[in-house]
Amino acid sequence: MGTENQTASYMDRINKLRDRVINATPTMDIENALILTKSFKKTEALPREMRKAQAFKDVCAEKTVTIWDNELIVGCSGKMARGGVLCADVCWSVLDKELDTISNRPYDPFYISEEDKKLFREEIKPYWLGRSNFEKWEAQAPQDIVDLKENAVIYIDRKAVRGPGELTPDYEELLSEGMDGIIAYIEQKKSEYDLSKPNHYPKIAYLNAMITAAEGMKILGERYRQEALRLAALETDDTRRGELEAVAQVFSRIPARPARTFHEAIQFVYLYHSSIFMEQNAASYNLGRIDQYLYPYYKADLEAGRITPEQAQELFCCTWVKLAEPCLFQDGVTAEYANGYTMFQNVCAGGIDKFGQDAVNDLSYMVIQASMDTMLYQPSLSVRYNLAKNPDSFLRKCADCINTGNGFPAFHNDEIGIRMMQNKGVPLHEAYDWNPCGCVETNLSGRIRGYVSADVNLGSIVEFIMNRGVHRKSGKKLGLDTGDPRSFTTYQEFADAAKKQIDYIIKKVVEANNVLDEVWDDRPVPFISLTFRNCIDTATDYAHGGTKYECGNGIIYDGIADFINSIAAVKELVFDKKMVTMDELIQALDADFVGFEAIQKKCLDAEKYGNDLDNPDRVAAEMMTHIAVNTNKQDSKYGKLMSGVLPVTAHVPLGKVVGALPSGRKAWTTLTDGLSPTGGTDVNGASAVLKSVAKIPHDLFSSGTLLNMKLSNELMKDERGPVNLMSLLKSACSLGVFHAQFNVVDKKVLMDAQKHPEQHKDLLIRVAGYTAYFVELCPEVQDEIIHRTVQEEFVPAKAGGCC
Amino acid sequence: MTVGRILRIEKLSTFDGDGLRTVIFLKGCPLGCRWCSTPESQKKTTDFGIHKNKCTNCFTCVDTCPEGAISHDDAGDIFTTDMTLCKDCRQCVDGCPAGARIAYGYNATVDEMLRELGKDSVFYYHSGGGVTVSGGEPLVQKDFVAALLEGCVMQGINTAVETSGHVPWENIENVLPWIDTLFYDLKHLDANIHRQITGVDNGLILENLKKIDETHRSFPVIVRMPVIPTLNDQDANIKALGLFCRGLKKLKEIQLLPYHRLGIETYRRLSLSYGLEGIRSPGDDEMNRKVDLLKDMGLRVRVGG
Repeated sequence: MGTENQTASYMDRINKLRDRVINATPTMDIENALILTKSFKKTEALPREMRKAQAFKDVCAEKTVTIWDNELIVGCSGKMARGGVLCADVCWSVLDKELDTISNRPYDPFYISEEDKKLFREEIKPYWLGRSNFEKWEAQAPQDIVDLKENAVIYIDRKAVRGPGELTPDYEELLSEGMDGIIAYIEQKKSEYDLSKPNHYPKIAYLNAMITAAEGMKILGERYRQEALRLAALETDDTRRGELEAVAQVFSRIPARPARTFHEAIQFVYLYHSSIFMEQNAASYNLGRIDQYLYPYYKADLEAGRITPEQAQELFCCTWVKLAEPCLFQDGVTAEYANGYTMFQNVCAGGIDKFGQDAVNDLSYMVIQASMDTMLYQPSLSVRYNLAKNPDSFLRKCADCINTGNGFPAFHNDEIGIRMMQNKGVPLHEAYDWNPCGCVETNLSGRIRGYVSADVNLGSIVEFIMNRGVHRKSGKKLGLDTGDPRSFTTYQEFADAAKKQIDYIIKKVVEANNVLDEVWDDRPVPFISLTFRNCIDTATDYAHGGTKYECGNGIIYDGIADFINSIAAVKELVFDKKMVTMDELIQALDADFVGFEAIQKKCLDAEKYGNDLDNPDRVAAEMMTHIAVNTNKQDSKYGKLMSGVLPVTAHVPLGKVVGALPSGRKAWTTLTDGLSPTGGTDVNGASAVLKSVAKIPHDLFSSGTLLNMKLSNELMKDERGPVNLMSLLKSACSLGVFHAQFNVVDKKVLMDAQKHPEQHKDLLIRVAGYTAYFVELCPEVQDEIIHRTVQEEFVPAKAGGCC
Repeated sequence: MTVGRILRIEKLSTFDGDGLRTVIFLKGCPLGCRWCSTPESQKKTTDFGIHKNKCTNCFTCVDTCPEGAISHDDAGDIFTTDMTLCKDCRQCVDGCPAGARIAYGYNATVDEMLRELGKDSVFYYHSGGGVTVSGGEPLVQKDFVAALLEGCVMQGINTAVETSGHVPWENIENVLPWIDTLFYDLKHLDANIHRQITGVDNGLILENLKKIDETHRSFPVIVRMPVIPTLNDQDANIKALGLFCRGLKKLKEIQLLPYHRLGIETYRRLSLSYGLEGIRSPGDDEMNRKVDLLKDMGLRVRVGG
């Protein structure tokens, strides 16, 4: 059975580390913001990139440096575990607006002390007033975008209230060069510029900023070395003193010089990773293919007798607990769209190597084991599973991890991920090296920039088709007038109207993106750019198009099943079977089906997506292809736009503004998450769900697609359970489904957790592409999870036949 | 084209053969086992049921029926459908505002069924699964089942059949070429008791199994016995089962299926009284003891399918 390895010798330490994190209350951490503000006051006259770099260096030099008890891997973005690090330059005003409510807000509250409130008001706010990136976006957003935004037809503040994130540093390069190597490389590039030539100064100034940021990292490393030595000198326990001396030893090597050992390498990765948040707090900074870039260090240690597999496993587990520390700070509304504090720090195992061959190694299994041992909601563990190349033993390990019920790993179909990267313009041989990012996005370490910026509410799109562009809740005309649907004589006319509405909303998002791209240019990240080689080669920041490959912003589409089922119901009821007239249907929707229960029943009885049925699934294929292709056609400053289906928890708030739909859904209720069928409508079981979901062109949605499936805990009761699950996963891959995530929890536990949250503090649940503590989710999301159809097929309910 | 009477299809089943399977339950059964957990499978004709917790007693079903076939008792608890009048138009089901009325059973041609079964071929492929025909008693519909299984085999889909064995030999003979695994259900080895608890003699059943075992076909046979406390769970019966099975050349294993009461919900929906009130499912210890009895006789045996 797949469970945590409680008998392993390292679990005592891991359990202690884990308890410290679980028992910490999410708290606002403004120390970095105070240092940043002080720094910015001193650097008014310098170029903005240098100001950011200097502020980063100052944070490295002045921030609190703590090594907690039992730690082998050390470091922290802020000063406390489970801190919400405030990046004042991006979004100070968010905290300002919520200063007195954030401790008690319904979604992802953060405790903040009165003392910190005072410091915020007196030190941070006065300087940043009117200067933050978020304020610039609020001031420059076009009015029609504001209308769409305020009525939740689109949601586009997600990446304006924090950094954009969604990137993966080149850790292979970082480990092999160290900061000194990178600085030497920058110096060499700098020497190729000539201050006497026009336009070379900005390049030189930028490279100087990068060097400043790199020096900051070295300072921080040295401070950890000294702290470890200080504690070692005070330590009375011989074992612990030895551990602290080993930590000091690691920092005497890294981050300045290249890592030589596994311990140095994994500590270096964590130090760099945690430092990124000091430059710009954001979700989805990924560690990427950690089993690949750490393997040479592990192998060398193992061969030299410097490490045992168990010691390496312990270091992985220590790192995993560290990754569970940070909490995503964002505004209360955005938290409603993505709650659970999750930072989406994605780690990946499996896949293929740069020669296209099986890349699974010993560390691939350890990476999965670390999540089974720690049972924490972060990091986000993903696997790239290559059906043709990866061994069954690796898939079995994935199944065993799913069996633990911790919601991991997020299972990614490797071949589809590769195709998504190609669709972003990455050549095939480099696409082999892709890694999952955030929840289900695709990424390429050290080489690509591109992130999602907006959500589109497909529920509102249905309203616009039925109501000639009028938004039901506000009564405003926010969509296009595509004509009176009563005048449509064929399904084709209706489908064309739907496509026009989609094209219109895509155009509006494009307009918003063009403004955002300009506003966001004011967010340089010289420290992050250190691990994107092309940024050094071109002396151009990551934020300004310095990466080797670039994409336009991504659009997330929400309410897929509601949209498909609505279009399919109209097709079936009004046009194919003529059971309801368009006029009757419109009246019923206007009345939220009150007095029209017979029509609602017909709407609910119409064939639904998720059952492997031709009518709704053809609508799904047709409409989703249209959406992906037409999104991907749009140009932006940084490339073609991308599309994705990864709503996080956005389907909950977006549903609150959507009236009754032809799918039979009542007004103002939640929409359906990701690619999942609407709860309770997928009556043909898991295979039918996967078949329907596979009819959506996953590879065209290059920002990723997300499928949640809840499997009853009963599934794994039988010894054949994990093997059945393996078959299911292989089938999903053959079908072309990109991602699937499984909740293996039974309803009773969830309902009990709602009643007695204090008894279920560490109950993990998949929300939508990520894992969170169930008791920390808002009640609507909790209800939704409980309501979702449990795939009963695996329950050994009864043998077939008459017996 | 041969038409079958189908009760339902269950996808991704893991309990009636290897791997992930689609199980087709056919309508109609010559037996009337007292513990039957799928009473809706017994009659070949359509059964109508009511979700009791959904029904609002609006009597729309009664009013909509064009044949006037539906009646109800005074309390509105029991709805009766006169099957001599019913034309199976299903208006009562489609028109039920609460979605409470259920019809069990439908017709499908071999081609329609093959199309539906083919939908999950990728799941069969990766799991070593396939299609299982069950019931009711599937071999009553011998032509349909033979054509369906032949269609599966010709598409490379693994087949299994679960039968009570209580059909004329020619029905079995018809289907034998297309079977990859046979599940054969035995209930009691004593003819009299068998008649008491299933309504039929076990003579034909035992004779057919011996005949199957003598054929040149090479498929494995899995003998299944439900373990129903007080009705057939006596050690003597288990040992008799073991003795009979020891003589079978095709026997792969014996599966003992513990009695369960999950069918009660359907009895309520069909307004049928449940014959076995008061009997509990046997515990794990009890089942293991029976397994050991058979193992001691040198047989391969396990609990569950």
